[in-house]
Amino acid sequence: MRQVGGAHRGLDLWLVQRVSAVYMALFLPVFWFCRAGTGYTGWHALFLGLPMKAAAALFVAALLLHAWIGLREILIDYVHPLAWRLPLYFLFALAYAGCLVWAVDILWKVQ
Amino acid sequence: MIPKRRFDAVIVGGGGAGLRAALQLAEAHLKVALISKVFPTRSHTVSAQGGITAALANVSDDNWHWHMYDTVKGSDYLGDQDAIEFLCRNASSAVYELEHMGLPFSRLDNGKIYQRPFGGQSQNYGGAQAIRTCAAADRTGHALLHTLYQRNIAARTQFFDEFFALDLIRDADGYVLGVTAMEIESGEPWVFEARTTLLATGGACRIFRHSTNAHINTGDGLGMVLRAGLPLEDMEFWQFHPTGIPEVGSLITEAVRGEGGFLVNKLGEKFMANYAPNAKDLASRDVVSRAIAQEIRAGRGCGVHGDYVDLKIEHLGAEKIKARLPGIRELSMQFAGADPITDPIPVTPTAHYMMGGIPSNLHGQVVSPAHYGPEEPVPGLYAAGECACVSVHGANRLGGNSLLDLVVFGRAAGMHMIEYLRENPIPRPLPLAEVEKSMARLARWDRRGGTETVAGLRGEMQRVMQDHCGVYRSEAVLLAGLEKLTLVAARLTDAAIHDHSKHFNTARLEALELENLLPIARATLVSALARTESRGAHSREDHPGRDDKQWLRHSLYFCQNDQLDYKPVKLKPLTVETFQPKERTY
Amino acid sequence: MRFRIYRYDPESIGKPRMQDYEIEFDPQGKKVLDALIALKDGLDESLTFRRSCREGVCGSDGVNVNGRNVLACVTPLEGLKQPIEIRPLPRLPVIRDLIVDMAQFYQHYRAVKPYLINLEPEPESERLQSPEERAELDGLWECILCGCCTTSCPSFWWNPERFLGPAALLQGYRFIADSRDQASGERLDFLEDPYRLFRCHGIMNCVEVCPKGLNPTQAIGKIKTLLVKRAL
Repeated sequence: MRQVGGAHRGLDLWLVQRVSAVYMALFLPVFWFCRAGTGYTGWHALFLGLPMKAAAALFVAALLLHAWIGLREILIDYVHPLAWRLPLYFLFALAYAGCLVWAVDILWKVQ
Repeated sequence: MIPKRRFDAVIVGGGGAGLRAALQLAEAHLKVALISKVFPTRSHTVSAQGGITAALANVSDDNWHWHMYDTVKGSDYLGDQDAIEFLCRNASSAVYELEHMGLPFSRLDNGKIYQRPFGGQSQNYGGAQAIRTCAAADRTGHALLHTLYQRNIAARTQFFDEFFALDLIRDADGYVLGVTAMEIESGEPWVFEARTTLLATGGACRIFRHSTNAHINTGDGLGMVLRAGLPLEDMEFWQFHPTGIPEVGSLITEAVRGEGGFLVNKLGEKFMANYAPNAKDLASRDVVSRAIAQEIRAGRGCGVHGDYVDLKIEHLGAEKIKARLPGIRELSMQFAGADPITDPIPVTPTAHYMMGGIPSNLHGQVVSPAHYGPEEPVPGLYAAGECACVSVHGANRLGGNSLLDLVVFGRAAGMHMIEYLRENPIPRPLPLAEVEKSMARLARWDRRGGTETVAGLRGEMQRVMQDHCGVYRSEAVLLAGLEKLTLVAARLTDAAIHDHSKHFNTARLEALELENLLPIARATLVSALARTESRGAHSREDHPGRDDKQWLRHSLYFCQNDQLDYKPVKLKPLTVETFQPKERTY
Repeated sequence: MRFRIYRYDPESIGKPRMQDYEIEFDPQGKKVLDALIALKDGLDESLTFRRSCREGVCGSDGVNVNGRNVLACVTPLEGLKQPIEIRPLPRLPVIRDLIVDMAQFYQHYRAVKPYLINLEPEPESERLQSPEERAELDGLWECILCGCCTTSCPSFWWNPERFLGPAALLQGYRFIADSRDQASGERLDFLEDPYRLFRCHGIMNCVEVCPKGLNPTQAIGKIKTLLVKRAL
């Protein structure tokens, strides 16, 4: 087999997956700690400020990115024909992007 | 039609010597094929533990003259002093070269290669203990073999892994023109045609029942040489390593004693002081093996049967043992059930190394008496490593000199082959009748319905050699052994194998290996019977003294009619003064 | 003792099968290889397996015993559940019985350029290396290329052509870690690839089975760390 150089990829995604995990690990306890009351008013108050809105949106983005990269790994492992794998990448990317839009929409509806 | 491949050089054997020679040739941009019956890193070089000896003087004051003196003395003056000078003179450059190739030597605090003391090493011609053996922990052979294989990958040597060499192809004028071989996976025969052929097939301790050697050490090159009508040299000299694990045979390196370990009998006595007052546990291997054998005979052996002695290193401490002897600890725990950090290792003398072999000179050329003398090169044929007898080890090899032998003479052979190829650019016609003969030998094992099995005969041969050709020998015992061996060999004609598949037929392989082992065992007994003296590893109880007047000469064994011939020991070194034979004490 | 051994001969028609053997054999102090040899010598000459050093340093006799990749020559018989089931190493093409075709495995090994690259003029004596620098190589250079790790790695099972596998990556790192080697950059370039390196998901089967007690996962982790350091 001919030896070509490395694809110079893989590292970025691997790194993003780890960074997103770190962010999620940091966000969750902060979120847990911050919530004031349990009722609707408490939740409402928490998400009223812009910082929390942004942080929560970022959390969802990190979660989806993390999940998509993991999914991509699984697809590389199991789904070898490119004709299947590529559409699956896009399908999941699209679905996840949709989820993100939806989440942002929900967050910013809190007034 | 048998597939034929043509190369400039064909090398049989992928251990240290074969790989070193292949590297020399491949880096000179010659077409070189390396045939090995196992993937090269499975070769027995991988089992070498303690190190490679060179007078680098990294720890103690040292120079190659002292190394040479020790080697001559260690050989019990049977080693050829020109070859020994060549070996010791080139030792340092050979080790530095290995370091440059990437061999992961252990290091001293100043960053230089770590060296440890080994048996038979002295400063100033027999003075204080020298520290001369360069080591990569206790896995130096592994490091060396892998490094050489890796360099060959870089040099793009052409490997034929799992090809079993069958016979030399030699024409009427005596030129060796390549080998016949069998591809093990398919069972198909091949012809490797080459103007130069190097045998680097290693040792043959599998003639013994208990040996430190790998299963693959069946002396295939020696069998090929005998069948080609060429002699074997000094076959009576087999080294029994003092410290092998009983029954299993696994080697416990001399480095254990070099690092400070010592032997004790069942009374707890450090008995080596009685046999070698100065060097004690670091006396030469033949001396230590005889000492252990005598302790066991005198009823001072350890264990229920009193058939081994103990090697103690607890006092070195866990840290040092783990850093310097990790492989030994692993082997001891796996095969002797003893963790050397807390328990002694049981050891007993075990067949380890063949000092004799294919007669060759210091360029690696195989030499044989033909027209004008015993030093006449066989054109096109080379040998290096344990299978060759240059002879640098004489009657007893010093620890750490075998890895050195591989690289120094592997390189020398490679260089001389390059020269020979330049002077002999035209391939000679291949004698097809020789190929036919080899094929007939291979086809013999297709026969069905024999009464004897290969494993059965091999076992009996090994028992005969173990019982009749051990550390101590005598005429009566050797004669009885020869008689038994003759009977075993005669039964080979009735042997058949029951596996007739062509694919990866290891039963057939073992049969072919047995055909190589049997004549080697015979060469050993015949040569040992004739040598009526005790020298180095050859101890005759009926002739306990060394007899320089009659026996300062090499034996040459030809398999036709068990003929023995002799040639003088080369006492004249290349540039320095002769070391005159004198009494050998440690 | 009772054994169930995987048998396959390309010449005889028919599928691979498991064959039962029973033999009088005292397992005390003996290894799986001793039993295989006893079976071959005493019962069935056609039983085929590789062996060489019989002491765990040459790496010839990697096999799967009771579901675990081991070296037959250092695996004690005592304590193994009977019938002892012996199969070839997983995922590699079987040539015959317990013998697998390791060409793919060796190809990955060669791909990492497993040799020292240093273009400086050679000094007359050794290149210096401190004991600490040398200690970096411990746990790397001792690999015997038996293939137990790589063939136990699910990532290798899924992508054997493109994932280098733990053994080759361990050797790749052995040269990156060598203070005498000057080609770390090119080596990292070669390894930075979604397949060659990043198929490793840290499953750690390799660490679990390595008969020499080496830790390829850790070496792979160190390669990733170096890649990250280089990228940032």
